[in-house]
Amino acid sequence: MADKDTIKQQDSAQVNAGGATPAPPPGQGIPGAPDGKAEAGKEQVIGEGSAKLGSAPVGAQGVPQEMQNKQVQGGPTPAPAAPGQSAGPTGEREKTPIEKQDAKTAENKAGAAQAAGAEMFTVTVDGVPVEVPKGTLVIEACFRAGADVPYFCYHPRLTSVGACRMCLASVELEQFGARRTALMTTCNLQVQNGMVVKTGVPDVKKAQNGILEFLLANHPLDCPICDRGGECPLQNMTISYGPPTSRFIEEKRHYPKAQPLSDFVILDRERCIQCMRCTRFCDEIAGDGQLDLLNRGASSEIGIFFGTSFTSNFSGNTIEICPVGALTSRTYRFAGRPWEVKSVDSICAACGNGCNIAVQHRLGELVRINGRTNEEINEEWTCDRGKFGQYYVNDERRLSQPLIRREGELVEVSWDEALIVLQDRIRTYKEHYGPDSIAGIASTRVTLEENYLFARYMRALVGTNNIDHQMRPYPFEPMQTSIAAIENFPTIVSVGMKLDFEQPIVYLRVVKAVKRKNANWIQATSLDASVTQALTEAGENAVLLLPHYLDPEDILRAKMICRTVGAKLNVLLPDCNSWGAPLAGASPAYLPGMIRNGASTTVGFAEARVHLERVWNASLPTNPGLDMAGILAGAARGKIKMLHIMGSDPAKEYVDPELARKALANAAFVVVQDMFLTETARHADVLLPSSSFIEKDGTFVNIEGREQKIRQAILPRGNSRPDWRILADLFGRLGTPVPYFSARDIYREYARALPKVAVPAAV
Amino acid sequence: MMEQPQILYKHRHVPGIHTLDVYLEHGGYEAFRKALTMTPDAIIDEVKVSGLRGRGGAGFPTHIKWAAVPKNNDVEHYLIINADEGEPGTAKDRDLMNALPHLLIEGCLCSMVALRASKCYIYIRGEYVQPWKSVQKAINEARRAGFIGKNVLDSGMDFEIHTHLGAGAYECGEESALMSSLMGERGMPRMKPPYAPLPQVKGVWDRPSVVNNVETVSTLVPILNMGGAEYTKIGYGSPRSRGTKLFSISGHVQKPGVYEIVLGTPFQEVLEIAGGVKGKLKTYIPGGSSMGFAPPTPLDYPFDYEGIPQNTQTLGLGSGGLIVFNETVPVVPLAQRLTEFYHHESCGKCTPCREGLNWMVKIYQRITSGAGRESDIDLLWDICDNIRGKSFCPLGEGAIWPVMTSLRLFRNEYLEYIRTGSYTPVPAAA
Amino acid sequence: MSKLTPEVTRRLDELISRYPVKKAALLPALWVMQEVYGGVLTSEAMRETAEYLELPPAEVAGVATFYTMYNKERLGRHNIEICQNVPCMAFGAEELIAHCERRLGIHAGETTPDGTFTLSRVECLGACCNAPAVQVGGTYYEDVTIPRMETLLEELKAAPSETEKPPQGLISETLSF
Repeated sequence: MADKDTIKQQDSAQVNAGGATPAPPPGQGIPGAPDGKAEAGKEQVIGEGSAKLGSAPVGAQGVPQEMQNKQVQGGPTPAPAAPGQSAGPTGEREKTPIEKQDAKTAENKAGAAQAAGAEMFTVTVDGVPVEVPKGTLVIEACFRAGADVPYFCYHPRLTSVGACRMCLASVELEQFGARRTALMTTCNLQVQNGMVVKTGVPDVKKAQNGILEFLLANHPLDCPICDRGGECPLQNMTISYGPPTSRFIEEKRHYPKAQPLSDFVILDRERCIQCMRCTRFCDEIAGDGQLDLLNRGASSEIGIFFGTSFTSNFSGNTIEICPVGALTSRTYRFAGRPWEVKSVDSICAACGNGCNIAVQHRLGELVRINGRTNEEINEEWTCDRGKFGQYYVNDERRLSQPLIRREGELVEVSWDEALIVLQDRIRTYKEHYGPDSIAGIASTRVTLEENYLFARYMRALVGTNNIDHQMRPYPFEPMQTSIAAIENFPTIVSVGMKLDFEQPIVYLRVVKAVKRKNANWIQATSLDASVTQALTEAGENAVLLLPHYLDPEDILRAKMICRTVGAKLNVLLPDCNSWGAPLAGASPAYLPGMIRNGASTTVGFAEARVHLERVWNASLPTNPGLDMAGILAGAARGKIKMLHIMGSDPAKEYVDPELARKALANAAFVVVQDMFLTETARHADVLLPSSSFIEKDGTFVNIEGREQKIRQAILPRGNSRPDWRILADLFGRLGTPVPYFSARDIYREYARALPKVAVPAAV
Repeated sequence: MMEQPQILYKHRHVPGIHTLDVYLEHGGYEAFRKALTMTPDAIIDEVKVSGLRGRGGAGFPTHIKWAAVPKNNDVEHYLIINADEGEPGTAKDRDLMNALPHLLIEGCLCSMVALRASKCYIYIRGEYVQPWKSVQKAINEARRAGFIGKNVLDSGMDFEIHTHLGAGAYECGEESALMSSLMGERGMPRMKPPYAPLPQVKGVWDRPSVVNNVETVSTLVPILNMGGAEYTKIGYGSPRSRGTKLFSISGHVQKPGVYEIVLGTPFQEVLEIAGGVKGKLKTYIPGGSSMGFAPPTPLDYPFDYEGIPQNTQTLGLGSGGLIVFNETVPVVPLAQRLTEFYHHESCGKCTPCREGLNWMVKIYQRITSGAGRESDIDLLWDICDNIRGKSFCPLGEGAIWPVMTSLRLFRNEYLEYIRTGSYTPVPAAA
Repeated sequence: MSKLTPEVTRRLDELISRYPVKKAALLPALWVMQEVYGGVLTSEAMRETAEYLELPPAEVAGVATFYTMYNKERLGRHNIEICQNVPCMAFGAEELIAHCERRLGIHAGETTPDGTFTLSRVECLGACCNAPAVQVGGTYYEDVTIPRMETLLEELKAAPSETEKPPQGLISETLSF
């Protein structure tokens, strides 16, 4: 749907972008204009200008009537409406996807205010009465009424500045006890009860036409080589509201083009319309103020501080909110036009925050990642790690064919060959050394389904509890608040961490709390007395943010302190599926659903186990399994013969890399499923190429424990396969065929495998 | 010609009046002592009776502005003095600050009592180094004499006055931009009612703030000294324009200078006070360049807030910067110069002002260099129309007024430029 | 080498103490730093100001570049500012500027090669009643005719610059009381 819209608008946008006169397409059905010729005649009048100055009083409208009406009749050149699509209430145009998103965001905001019991005002917009909560901006009331208000500087998540003047409307309001009607910007005006707003009247149309003529006067109109072309608000608004021709015949403003601000962002100052969205974003949302307006007046430009680079971890968002092509992406540069790019809704794999993203691809390659709205998590932002850091999926060095080690060398083989070797070895080790001579290492970066399947493979097929995924030991401590709730705490204490890089979205919530709600953010370097003091003082008004890599003893201590003073504790896990791995049962003492056996057995463990044996149609091993340290030590000593590693790189990431390397060297047989020839993969005897997160479906569980679906955008690169498919194949080869055709089938089984009794989530 | 009572400038020419000692000898700080004995509301009432209106340009009744200030002291209230006099043709505040700095300080102190403010910032434009030194010296003197500081004159009240030096931005003379600048930001205008709460309620640092012109608060001193009722007797017919006002009269008059003139004095007389027009009057700007050009007739109207005839199409009295031009002056370069000025000073926040003025400057440059087209006249007019009422702050409005009025009054001169690239005005009379 | 000497920070602290928030001291602080850096607000000066006032450097740059009196380039020893607005224009400001340009061999906005004079066009100086007006280092010269300008240039050639006055020039002098 979204793609279709974009394409349509682009087609018309291109006509204007070239500077040509976009005469309304013939037979376009413009109200009041019998045919295109009448319009052309009118253009003449405008171009020559028939206003007689000497006679016109200054106070009156100094413009001939024809000109005022021009907009009403000919101005909005509607994008060709698809058959069956009805035009908007004012008969104008279909809103762009960006506008729809903004309107939805505004609607959410209003909905929240209404739910919170805000007083309701009635506003009449173009004759349509709407009820909106007090404090709503007039432009947002217009959205609700379905009226068409164009804008550039307005953004529902930024403070209003009223800079672009595009959102003008004729507003009848009460001021100082008198009612008056005036042209007013609607983006920074709050509603009054009984306000009357008119959006499409001639005065407004003339004004908007004038504003666009101003904006385009110095705009380079280099749309054919602009990455924004096709999804550019300035382009779209010009088509709907702009003058058909420009009277500007002077030399345009010139700046050097394509100035890189960082490795990711390029600035083109000629295109900038000074809407200040990016500078407000940097100040209010990212909190670092790295971009600001420089100089003044017509020489105003946006920029970073002299001799520095745009190092903010959120710089990419400025590209998305830029209403022109002033800020563009270096990684997406000339990678495709928006209408050629297909978009798939997915979840970011860069960290555990679980940002909702749109994976955009063209010709089987990832071209860019955009933010997608989820009010509970990322609102609509992404971090640069998520946005720019996942191009590895296009990397030429990706493994594309299974490899097995022959005479010390890894050689390419077919999937069949590789899996036959694997199935034979599993049988051999199981028979000769028992199931516990095999161990599995799962991953916090593959899906819930894959971890679940891996756990079932280890426990039911191999028959061992030797399975773990933790690259360092840390307790499974669920967050006590949601990500969104963090912004409501007056006191926020964080320990260690470079929060903006390690937990970017949590960081944005903290900044929001500080900037919008005057919260106090205490950044401690360790769990010292200052933390205790701050928590004690704030009590239940405090939230403590800890990294997962803090000493487990400290985490325990922090938990006690928080419990005592009533503060909330959030231990923030690192990866996109840090919770999915233990939930799926990829941890020695946990069955799926985090049913714990061992030192402190979960209530209902026995029942859960019976249930699982029924679902899996197998008896489960009773030996306690080894955790990561045990597995690696066992392998290093030669007691563990076979290591099966799915999607992780212990040689590099395990807290004691030496031990991991020794384990990998000493294990008789190492199987690795990975995308790249990692250090761990170099030790593999069988190396199976796996697919990236944009090449498969599945589920990620974010740091809050929120399950979200990732969706396949492109075909797996080369001959690689999703980890779940590799495992499913293996199941068949080991004599237990499973009917999995998609990740969803596995998820269904996972859901069935969960215990039927309610159990505490974790200990 | 009526005798012009000198209220503000009573002691303007007393030698050494800028020093505290001489100022005290001439009744200095009596009004402040009186104010300390009054309640804030009583002072505001006195101002209401006097009919004092803002002397900075807008002419807004001072008591209405002041009455909006919350009547409690939960948070600090601020008085901010707008000494960012930059309107071309206006030189009165500079003269006042240079000559009578203590009058300003006393006016500030009286106003602070009325506004329940304990802090006052005098925002002086960066170019005004001399007035700044003069005011800062007066503050230092007043502090030493106990008029500024803690528990002033045993009143139990604290008064602190600071100067704040601008750094070259005309836009900061606009009330809300001045507040931005005072808070250490770019001098860009902020939202005002109906877009935002009144600054008297939520101004600088979200606290109650009142911005007043130098002359406005200085006028408070004579008002308190003589009483509002007495003050309101000064003036001509209009009940809404009372008292005297400083006018800086420049251009082609025999004796240019800053004059204190009773509001409502016939305009013809105002010109005579400045020695009469040098040569034949061609046009004049009544109150700072933003007001626009007025035609040479009529001249027999009362020069006050309401008196300027509608048909002059000027915006009014403005800041009191009267600029007179005789027939030797071509108007198009003046309008061009003013457009360049506003273009240079536009803060760049809103589209119409930033882009529109940029465009107009280019058109003017074409016209005066002989590359104009007749359609440029209509184009200029339409650009003005597209700025009018659409810019964020009054700067855009002020910028188009000289253009629109000159287009209207001197269309032939524009045409002459367009056709020939120059215009020869009437040669100066010998 | 940081120029935030104890002497300078004492000045800055005093300025900060005048306002309820640190940021408000930015304009006066930039004045001080401009003088500390010898009459020019270098990016280093902006960075140090930002650091001291705990502001993002870009924001300080935004403010510094907004106001015309913060010099981005080193000016001559004497900055001759000639008012070019309408009242002065009507009394020959343009001719005065043209004369100075010829006399000094530079265009307005430029500095003489020996670094003695900078010639600047400025907007209304508020001396409209005594047009044309010229300001040099905070001192006004009014009703300036071309002969008077000649005399002034000669006088200035020998005179020290305002910014060279100890300890940090006139701005700092007035800021501290």
